[in-house]
Amino acid sequence: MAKILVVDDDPDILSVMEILLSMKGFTVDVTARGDNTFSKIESFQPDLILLDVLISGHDGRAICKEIKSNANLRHLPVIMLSAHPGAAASINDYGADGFISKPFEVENLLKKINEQLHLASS
Amino acid sequence: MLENSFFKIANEAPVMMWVADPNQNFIFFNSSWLDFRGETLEDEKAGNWVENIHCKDVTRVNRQFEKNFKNQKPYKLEYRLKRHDGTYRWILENGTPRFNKDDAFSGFIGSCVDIHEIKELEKRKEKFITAASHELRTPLTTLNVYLHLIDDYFKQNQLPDFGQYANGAIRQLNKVNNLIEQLLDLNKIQSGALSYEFREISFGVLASAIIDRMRILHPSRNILLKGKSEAVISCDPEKLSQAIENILNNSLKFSEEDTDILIMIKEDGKNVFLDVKDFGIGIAKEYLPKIFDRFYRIPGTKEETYPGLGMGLYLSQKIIKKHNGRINVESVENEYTKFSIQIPLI
Repeated sequence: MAKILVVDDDPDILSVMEILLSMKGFTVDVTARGDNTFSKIESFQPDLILLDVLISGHDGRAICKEIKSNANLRHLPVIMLSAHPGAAASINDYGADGFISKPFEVENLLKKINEQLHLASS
Repeated sequence: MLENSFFKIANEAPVMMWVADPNQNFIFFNSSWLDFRGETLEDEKAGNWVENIHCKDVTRVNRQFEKNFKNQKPYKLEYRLKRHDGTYRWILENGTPRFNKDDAFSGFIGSCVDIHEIKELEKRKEKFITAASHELRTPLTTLNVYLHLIDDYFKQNQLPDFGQYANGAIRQLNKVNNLIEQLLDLNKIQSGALSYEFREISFGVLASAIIDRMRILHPSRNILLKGKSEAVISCDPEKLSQAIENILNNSLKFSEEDTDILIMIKEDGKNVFLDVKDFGIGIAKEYLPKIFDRFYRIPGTKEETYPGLGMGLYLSQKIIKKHNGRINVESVENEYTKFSIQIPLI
């Protein structure tokens, strides 16, 4: 069962993601705090991270950059989420593997997650 | 002398004014101008004001001036100019060419107003819309996911009626999403920040994807497609789809359930054409020229019957123009409306 970590400062998004992804058969853990990301990665050992671009007090892009510049974590797929579609343009600079704008189509989100998990395991 | 009496009147005018001769020498600045600048007439005539145009605007202003004196046509120009207190203010300048009694060009008269507050408000409005759209998107995201979960549950438990209700709710939610996208795009168009990503794609494929989607969203409507095109165009598929969908939505909105929507596609080697025809309420002649205006809604009782924000066609036209294309409308009231789009092939 693939494990997904969701990092978003909006508690409503976190709870609905937790329900949705669990229903779709994933094991899910969430955090609303950007600075918890790395301790969560260590304890939860996710196979994929869904990361909001703008997290209060923390820039999701900086977190993404940190993950991707860490040799031990680089392989971990990161899909970034944002309600600012314009944010998509700068995602590549931070090494994110995918981008989804909010609001998203549920099918599209699941498709991107499965694509990344598939790529990571192949 | 005529000039002197003009200068006298100009000095009484509340707008800032200058007069230039045909060789781009500035020969007069009125009192309002000098008060704004806090400079003497002599210093301004010597070109002091040009040195006090904001460094980010001065090249553009100079270039525009060269052009204006060559074209000798009225113009409008916005730039930042230093005020007496040392702050830069946005100025809107209206230039009017002067001609003497023999019709020879004799320079320009510039009349200027301080539009700084308006500019600032405009910027704040743009920021507000961006922030509001962002705030709206988060609850819409969660709402959308919950509705999908409900829909899944009904499907699994074989409750098709409830499934339909959930689908109806999702459809309405998509409409709200679209409106927010439009509002945001409109905002971006105004601030010049709407970015296009052009790709080469088959127009026919794009069109049938749009039509398929519209048929799913409006199962009760008869949407007919005539003709086809294998032509390849350079476009931003998302933006162009939006432009075409806005037109289709309009046709669906302003016609009865039991009438057809006719889509015709053809090409002539240079352009590809897409017509959308509905047999609905039509548009009276006097309103036709205005329907592409921003926020324009045809007045009368229909405004209440057919809700909307008046953004769709405005955006469609902007997007199609960006593709070097054209959009036209033809209509007879209570008979039909036909929108025709033309996009150049590669």
